[in-house]
Amino acid sequence: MLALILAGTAFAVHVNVAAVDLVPGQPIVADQLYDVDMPEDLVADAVSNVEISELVGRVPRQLVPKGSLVREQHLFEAGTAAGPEAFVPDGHQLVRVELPSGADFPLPTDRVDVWVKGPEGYCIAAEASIVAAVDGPDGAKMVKLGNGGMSAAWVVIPDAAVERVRNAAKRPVLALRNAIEVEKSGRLLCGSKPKETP
Amino acid sequence: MIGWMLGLTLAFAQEAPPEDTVMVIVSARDLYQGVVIAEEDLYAVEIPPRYLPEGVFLSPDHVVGRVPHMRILANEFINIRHLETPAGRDAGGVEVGQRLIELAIAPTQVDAEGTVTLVGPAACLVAADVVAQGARVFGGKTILKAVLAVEDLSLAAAVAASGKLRIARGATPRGAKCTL
Repeated sequence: MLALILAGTAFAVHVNVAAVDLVPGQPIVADQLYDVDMPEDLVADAVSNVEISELVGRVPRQLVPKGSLVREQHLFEAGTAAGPEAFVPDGHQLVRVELPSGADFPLPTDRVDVWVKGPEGYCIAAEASIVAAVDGPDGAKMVKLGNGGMSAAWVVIPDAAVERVRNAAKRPVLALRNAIEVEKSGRLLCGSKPKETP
Repeated sequence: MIGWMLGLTLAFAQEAPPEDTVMVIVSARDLYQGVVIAEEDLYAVEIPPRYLPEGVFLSPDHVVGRVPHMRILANEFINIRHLETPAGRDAGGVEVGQRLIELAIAPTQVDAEGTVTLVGPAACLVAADVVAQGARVFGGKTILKAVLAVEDLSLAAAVAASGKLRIARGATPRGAKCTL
């Protein structure tokens, strides 16, 4: 049985709502938001009592659907660069990985394992890496959700694995994982010792 | 005096009738893409319709059992955009522990039932489900492809190690499951 809460009776706070889908990696412009006063008990963790102008230029880290209240968790830290680079933390780089012709995935913000062929066969060069952008059929880089037919993915790779991915003997293989699996198991990583059997 | 108070109460009641409300479905915790939504993941709030955001669900029946395609934060109104399959992704969500890999296939590799059997390196069988297959026109060519779901990393390795999987035609071949 679903818990039912009567809301909308508390005093109002000022919140910002997405007027259109806010796209990960693309800085917010003023026209993409509107503000309303809503009862405090409806706004949960939304950014409140902040003017739209203060959110202009902020970069979403995930798609924020039209009609959603904007939350700090939806956004990268203020000052983060726009575009795919927004997804690149210190110690990482963006690497372009060719996809099979007309690929339907991965999509921006997906998590993938990057398999490469090395001297001792295939291994995982980078685990649970985030896809920051994809190249469309025409080769143009897109940070928004794709429409399929992608030709390449821009994957955030740790510095230590960049050369291995770039210099792989064959095209790296991207295995899509559930976004909830952000933790790295370390299994089958390139350069790791094979597991000993008792 | 009593009459005056009663009149005042009635007048107040007339001035501020109880506001209509509608029920909206809200996430009780962070929900993740690919993970089926259960009833306990949700709660409902009754709100005045003037606060009703666009595209939200008004009944749990339309949400329970669905799979989000993006992260939904705790206490967010569940929005239809959270549950829509992104355009171009016909493979659906990825279950926890699964890996999806996309391969190009040839028409001759699809059997009469429209399924494919996958043979990995050294003629072992790749225990992978074909979760989607179809054709896409790309660069003027029609490309057949299969999306494979593999349940563990070893199998993913076997798929990857094959570079390009051989796809058996006709009857299912016999053989051992691929392992590392």
